Amino acid sequence: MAIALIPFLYVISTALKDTNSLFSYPPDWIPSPIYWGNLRSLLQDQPFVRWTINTLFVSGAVTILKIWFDSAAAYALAKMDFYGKRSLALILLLSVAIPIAALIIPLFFVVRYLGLLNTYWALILPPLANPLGIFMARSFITAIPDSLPASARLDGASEFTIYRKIVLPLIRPGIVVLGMFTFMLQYTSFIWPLIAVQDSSRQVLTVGISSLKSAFLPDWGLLSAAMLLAAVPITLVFLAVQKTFVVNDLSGALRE
Amino acid sequence: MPTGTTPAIEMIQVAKSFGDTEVLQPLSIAVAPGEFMILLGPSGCGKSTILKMIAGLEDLSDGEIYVDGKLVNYVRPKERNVAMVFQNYALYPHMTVRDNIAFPLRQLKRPRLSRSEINQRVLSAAEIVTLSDLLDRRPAQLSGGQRQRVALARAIVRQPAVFLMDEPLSNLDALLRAEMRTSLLEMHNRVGRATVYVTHDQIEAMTMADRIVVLEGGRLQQVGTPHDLYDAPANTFVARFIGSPQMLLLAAEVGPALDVEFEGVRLLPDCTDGLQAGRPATIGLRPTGLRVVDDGSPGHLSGTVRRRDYLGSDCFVEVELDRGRSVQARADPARDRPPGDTVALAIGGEAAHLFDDRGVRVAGLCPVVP
Amino acid sequence: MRLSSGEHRRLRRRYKLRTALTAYLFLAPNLLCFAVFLLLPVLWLAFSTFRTGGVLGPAEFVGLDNWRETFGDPLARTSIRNTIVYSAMAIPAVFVIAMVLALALRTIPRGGSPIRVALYLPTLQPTIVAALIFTFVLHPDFGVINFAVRTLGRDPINFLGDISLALPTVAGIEVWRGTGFWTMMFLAGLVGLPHELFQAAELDGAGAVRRFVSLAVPLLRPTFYFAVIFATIVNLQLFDTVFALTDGGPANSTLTVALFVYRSLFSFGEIGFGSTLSFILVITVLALTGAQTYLMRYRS
Repeated sequence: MAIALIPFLYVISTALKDTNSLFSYPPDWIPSPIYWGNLRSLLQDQPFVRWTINTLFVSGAVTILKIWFDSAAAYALAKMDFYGKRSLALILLLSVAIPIAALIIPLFFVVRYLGLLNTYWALILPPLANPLGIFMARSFITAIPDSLPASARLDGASEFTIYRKIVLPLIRPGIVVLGMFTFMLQYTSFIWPLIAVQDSSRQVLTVGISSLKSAFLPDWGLLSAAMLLAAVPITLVFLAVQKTFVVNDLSGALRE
Repeated sequence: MPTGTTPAIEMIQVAKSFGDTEVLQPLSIAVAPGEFMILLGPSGCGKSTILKMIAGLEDLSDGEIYVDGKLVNYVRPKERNVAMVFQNYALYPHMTVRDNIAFPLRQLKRPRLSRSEINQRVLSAAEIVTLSDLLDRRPAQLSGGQRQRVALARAIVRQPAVFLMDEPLSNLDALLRAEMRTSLLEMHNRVGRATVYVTHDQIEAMTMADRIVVLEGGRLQQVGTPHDLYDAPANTFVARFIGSPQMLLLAAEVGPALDVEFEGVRLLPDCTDGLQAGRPATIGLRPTGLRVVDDGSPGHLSGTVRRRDYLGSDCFVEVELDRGRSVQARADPARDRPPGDTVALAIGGEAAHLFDDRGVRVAGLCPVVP
Repeated sequence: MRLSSGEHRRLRRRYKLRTALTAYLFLAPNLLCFAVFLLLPVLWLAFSTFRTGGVLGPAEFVGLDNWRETFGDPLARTSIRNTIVYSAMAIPAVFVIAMVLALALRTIPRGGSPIRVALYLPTLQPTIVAALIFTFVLHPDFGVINFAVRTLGRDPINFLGDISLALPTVAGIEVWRGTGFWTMMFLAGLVGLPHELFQAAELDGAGAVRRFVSLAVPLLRPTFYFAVIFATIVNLQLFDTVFALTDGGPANSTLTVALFVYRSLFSFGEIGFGSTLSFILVITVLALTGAQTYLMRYRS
């Protein structure tokens, strides 16, 4: 626990003191007086707020679209019969782990061809392609007894009504897990935003922070302040849904 | 089935197979309007498959199904106008009882029902199944019997052409089951729609059905009224499946006079078509038709009481016959027959049946009094 | 039957087509994204391993040249070796630590929740943030660790500047980040095991170590399969940390496959090698996923 936390404490302490006192020996753990200059210059001189908004917007959009797309696809795979279901499921299952890191070159060209480079779409659309979420959602939907959608069908409900009124409400805890997982992955993503967006005003937090470091002589106080603030939203989101967020669901999703 | 009317359900040469395994052999049945038809058989006999095929939840491999004279093979379940009660009730757990019952009504598109009309129909359906007080509860807050009634209300509220019920009582305890049998029948009479009901419980089938379809191993065994099935079982399977205690089956051989002999008693078939002397056959004896009498006369079996099962209204005794075989027989419950008593057994009118070497019933048997 | 079998065939086909259409309507948004942003790139990648050309220049077909040159290229080979060495260090380490922590946490029935959250914090952080945090912590001049080293009277260690230390250090940082995730994963697996079995074993006099080795390990096999393969897939893509911390240095000692691919897109101006290496990565991941599916389905 200490090993997990000490680096954070160090960052907090660095963020709240003057960069010059950073090099004092022995280091002051508790900054006194508290120095707000780092935070102020981060918020005033850097587009940090913009990056945060971009990140929350992109992550939120991906999360909402992914929940919608993946749960709909999972419903079809779990509770419907149709031509090509088995082969489709197999193709999707094999593609689950294909990493975006391995696809950056062709993705770059596809996105450039579509004229989406440097837009939010370039950040939002490619993450939706990964089918892992389908399998997570499918494992939740499979737990619903077949007789429920069957009964709804006989009651005259359309497939869309069954999906909206029966399936979605019943898998809500699972949806929270999927949403949290997606949001986290999106919030922390780095390599693809680094490539897809050059324009600093459309950049996300991770790339923005790393651009702060690239200066010849990095301003460590400023960097710490950025890291400190970047950790806040995701930690809050995590704490909010902590109870429902069980990691094991990930392995259950891939178990047929 | 009265001629001239369209059957509520008509199945023509309906069959089902998964790959090479035949789940259901070609089968034709018609259900009359208002009829209460029960599909009876052990698990895996194909009865639930038939129900699902009528509902549209399972494809047919072959054959045709008509509901109200309309071919429904290629009609989606939602458009078949049938309602189904599932074994696990399939209530929507996140909705109140009221919303569960209203769900089918809310799906009606043309014409769309007004809020007040939905409300009124929900109330009247709830009243039929005596649920009016529980409308705002959720399924998890209800007992098994109450859930069962919600499922029924949800099925009747839309007034479908046909009701399908898949072992609806099997999750209830014995007392509740008997009670629900009565209320189900009352409801059926009130609604007056054809019902196909699946069960593995022969008592349920005998007490409730207008007609029973007996199935085994994906094959139709017999269709008939409870009386038909009890008095003239088509084969040894039906004979043993219907009636309690079970019919006793004994190997025998057709004699030269086309009769059979059992424990010194000659039994004569009431019909000799297809009988051949010297062929192996099976004699079936219903314990309910064997009556314990005091003194033997020719044509009676005789033996010693080994065990008795006193049931209050009835008493069954196990009798070891003189030549060593044991049979069950019915005794007067008012008279005690302690083990060790020597008794005689009279073979009643419809107690004995003769089956040929394939197990198919040939005739009823009557004892010959020399 | 009242309809001819030809008519039945026609009607049945129409009905099936209609059900399939409904299903594909549900799948459509997802499959569209899948086709454009995953399937197409993978096919493009396979195709481009046989071509040459840059981001701007014209492409031409070169057969197997890319494959030959990629395997002959010292940098590409270094990146593959580094990635494998790194995975071989990071994965076993994180598994052992996470398993020990999970076993310890299992014995804490209540109040373990703050510990769990604390353990999970590193996992939540963007890799890039985690990497930067460690630039501090490990800094030769003002890092905490070197403060400790200096207090002991030694010379500060330049963790990220030393050829032999850089890669293990990167592995260490990834272990720090991954511990929370894998602890939770193993904990979930342990909690899911039937309790009675362990009680019975304890009554039979089996010690804690024995109970773990002969009961928990075999029962957790599915979790382990998943863990090993998933961890391998994740670690083969290591990029963020080395990009932020070392940029592949010193002397390419932390150049990973993913970093090599990235550079081939932007720095080399020649994407043939990068594509080939990417494609190898995709094939490896596909093979691992296939193995995973096979193990899950037929072994457990």
